[in-house]
Amino acid sequence: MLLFAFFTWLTLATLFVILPRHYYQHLPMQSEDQRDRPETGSMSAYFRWLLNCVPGCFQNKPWKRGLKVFRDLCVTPYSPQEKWIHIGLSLSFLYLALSGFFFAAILIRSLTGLLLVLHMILGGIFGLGLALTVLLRAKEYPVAENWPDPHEHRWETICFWIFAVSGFVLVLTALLMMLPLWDLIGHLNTVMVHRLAALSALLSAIAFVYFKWYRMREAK
Amino acid sequence: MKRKTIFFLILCLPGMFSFLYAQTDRDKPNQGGHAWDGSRSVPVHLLPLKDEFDQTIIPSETYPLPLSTRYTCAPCHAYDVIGHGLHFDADSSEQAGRRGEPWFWVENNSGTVLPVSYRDWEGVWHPDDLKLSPWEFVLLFGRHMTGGGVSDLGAEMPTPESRWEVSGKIEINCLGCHNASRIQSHSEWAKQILRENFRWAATAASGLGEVGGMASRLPVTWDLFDGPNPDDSEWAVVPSVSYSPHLFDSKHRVYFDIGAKPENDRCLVCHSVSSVRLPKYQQMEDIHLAAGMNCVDCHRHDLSHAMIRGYEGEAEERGDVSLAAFSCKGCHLGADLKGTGAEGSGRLGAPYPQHKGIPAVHFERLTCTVCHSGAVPDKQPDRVRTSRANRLGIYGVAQWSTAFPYVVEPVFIRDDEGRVAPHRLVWPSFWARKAGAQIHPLQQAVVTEAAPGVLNVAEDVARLLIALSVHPEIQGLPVIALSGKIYSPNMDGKLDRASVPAGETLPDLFWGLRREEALEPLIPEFDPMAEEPDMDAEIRVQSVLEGLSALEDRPGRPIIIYKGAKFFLVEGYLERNESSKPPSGTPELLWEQEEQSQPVITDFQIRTVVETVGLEPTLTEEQVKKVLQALSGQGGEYVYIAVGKMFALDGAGSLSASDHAAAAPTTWPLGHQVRPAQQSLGKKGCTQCHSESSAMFFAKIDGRGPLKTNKGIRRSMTTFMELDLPYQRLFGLSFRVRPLFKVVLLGCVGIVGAMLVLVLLLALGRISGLVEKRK
Repeated sequence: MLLFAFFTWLTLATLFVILPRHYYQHLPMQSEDQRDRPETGSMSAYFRWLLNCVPGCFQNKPWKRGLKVFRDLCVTPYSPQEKWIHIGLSLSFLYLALSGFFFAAILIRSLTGLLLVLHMILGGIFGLGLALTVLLRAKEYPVAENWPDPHEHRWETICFWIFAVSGFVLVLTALLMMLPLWDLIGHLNTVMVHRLAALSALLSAIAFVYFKWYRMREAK
Repeated sequence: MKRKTIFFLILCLPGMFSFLYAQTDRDKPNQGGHAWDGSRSVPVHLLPLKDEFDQTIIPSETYPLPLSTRYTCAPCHAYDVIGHGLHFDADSSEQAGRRGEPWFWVENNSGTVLPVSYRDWEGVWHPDDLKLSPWEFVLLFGRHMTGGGVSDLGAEMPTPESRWEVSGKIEINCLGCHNASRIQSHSEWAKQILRENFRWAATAASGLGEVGGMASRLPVTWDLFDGPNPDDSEWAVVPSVSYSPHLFDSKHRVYFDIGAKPENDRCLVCHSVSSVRLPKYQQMEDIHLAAGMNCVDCHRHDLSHAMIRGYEGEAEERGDVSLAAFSCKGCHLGADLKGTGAEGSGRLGAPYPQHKGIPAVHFERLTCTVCHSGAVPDKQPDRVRTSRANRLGIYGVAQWSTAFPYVVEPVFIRDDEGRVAPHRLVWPSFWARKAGAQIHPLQQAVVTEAAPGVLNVAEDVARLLIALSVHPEIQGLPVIALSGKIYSPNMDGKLDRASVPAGETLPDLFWGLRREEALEPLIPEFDPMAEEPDMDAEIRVQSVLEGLSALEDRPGRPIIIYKGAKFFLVEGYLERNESSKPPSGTPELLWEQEEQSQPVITDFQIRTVVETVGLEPTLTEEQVKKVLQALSGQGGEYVYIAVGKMFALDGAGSLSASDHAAAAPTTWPLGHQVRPAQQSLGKKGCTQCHSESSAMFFAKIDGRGPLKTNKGIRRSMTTFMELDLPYQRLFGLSFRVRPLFKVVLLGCVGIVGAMLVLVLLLALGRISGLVEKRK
């Protein structure tokens, strides 16, 4: 479990380095500071830029900005029915990730108590939301058309399908753990698969949100 | 000079080391005896018997002494080494080990149920705290002791009341466990201990000879060298043993039917546990025994008799990793076996459990015994009796077994490692002096002396009836009927209760005489004012008065008032005069002193008899109040602990109950009876435990004990497990919708899975070119 926690932190840290780097690489030349960005400058300049950005993330009511991004990405463009599906999926996943990784990657122990009950209930909502989202939105992320030719939202598509596969494994393992199929070792292995799928879903969800936000920003 | 000193010291060094080594070696128990040669057969035990002076016993001698195991078994088995074994070292071992069942000092009249142990366990009292000397301890509990330990070495620490010189020590009773002969009698052992025939007990119990006499009746000045007393063959008869001559061969040797591994029956003499609600034929048997195993297959030991108890953590506690192989996990799962030399699980054919569908958290938070051992949880825990606590397995004319302590199982409690484990539980009951927050139990004699006539009510009433029954003119058994029940004296000097025969109605207080099955008034109806006296009736009146006069501690002279006449005795003659009291239709038996009269049986006694005799409680709140009032007269604060509460007199003199740490229950984890896998918790599904009303979480544990009260504590099982009750209810409730939840998840998995398969097929089609070809 300690190994899993370490792996979680490592992959999350990597993602939080890679995604800003993508953003940094595609920044328009605006100031003296950005002249030495990766294609023209050094890695140290990138990290300097990254460090300078950190305080900015916590300024000007970040939750309001986050809420606005959420609204722009998941609510506004969709029909009322789909809005609720996305809200359900997003909020349930947010809780599932927070509660699950708080125990698995910070407390390094199994989820228990009331948080576990909520985890299970919201797991059901997540499963429903995932099924409906995949059913309704799959056409937006085709893998057969022009593949593997690059298209404008290639990374979004990849992240979408990784998330779908991870979500599928998450729901499947949750279901299997409730059935009298496994002995203790089998059960422990299922739990580990569940955790790895959760990590994969989390990473793909973060990346998906970033790429979708980036594409919308570019479109503006 | 200096160099010479150094040289001398160097020369001395080896000698000093040798001396120190020898000293260290001397502290080790002498292994002695024969070392095992590797044979797995049991040698024939054809041995000469030795007495406590290491002399061979010749049965035909006059006044032969009893068997001494110390010397009879010693040539092959080192007695001193065995003496450090688990069954003998409670008072000397520094390692208390996991909590086990303590001894219970039970005294019904005073409502005492006190857990006692020499081991340093939580929730039990050390005998020293109770001012209980080794002598008193052995008298109380020797009935189920194995000998050795405090019953052997206690003699070296005599106390004023002890009589070790008369009784002798109780050596380790090897035969108590190892005798495979069916003649080995635990009842005989208990009887000899009761008679203080300590040194004779092993001989009598083994059936080697017949032991007569009672050391308890001998003067304290008597010792073994005085021998028998030819002047007294009736009362203070010196204990003696009459060996069965046919057991001895011509060389005075006796064949012992010894089982190197004690049989289960021998263990069960002291370690039986049975449910009170089930008849014998329905009692559960431990699955290991049912499978043909023996107790000692797991609970093993070497010559040291340091028996493996088999609980998890024992290996670490005792610093011996090999012990881990004998726990549930060690045998069935092969867990924690690194360095034990054991190959893995499956010792003695132990099946490997699959535990299919049981989440891993159960194995982290629960001991194996939660699901597999003891009674199946019910709305209230099952009441059980245990050999040592309830004095089981002693048979004879007298009734040895006791209702108290009130032992219940299973109660799920967290152990020292934070895991939930099933326990047996007893609520202690005792009188105590309170000094601040500290509680100091009182000796029962102190309580009884402080409040005479309050605690022994049934015995006092029985004495009255017995006094009447022994009068030669009273033919039949005097009884008293109170509130529709008939109370009669029994052989133990107590009262038996029976219902009034159907169709008969008796007054609330009725003195009767039982002849065969018929019940008649003790004093027949007659007219005391008649001109012609009823001689038969007056003889009965006189007999009753004479019977009552025979009581030693009567508070006055007995009188009988009947229909306005007062009868009394003057110099053995019946006298009669007019009573100042209003005429009564039923005869009243009274004590009279200085013109003041009081009933022979007071209202307090009537209430107490009605509420306690023939019923389980032995004490009423009224008695507790009276005793506390009497004790408080001596100065200090006194309390009575029972049913999970501390009872004390409040400012208004009323009895109030409050919580106190000393009223907390005594608990000890249970290992057996292990149920078959099919009867394990969880076998019938999650809801066996996880439901909104499951016994596992929500069973109620009531404070039970000798006190009749409705102020006793009531606790939910969750409080013992230190769990949140509302959460557990919610969690249990969640299992109601779980089947639906599974269906929803299955549907989700189906939809997402189908979509993923579709996408996969499309991708494959794109890669293979099939999709484009269709276009």
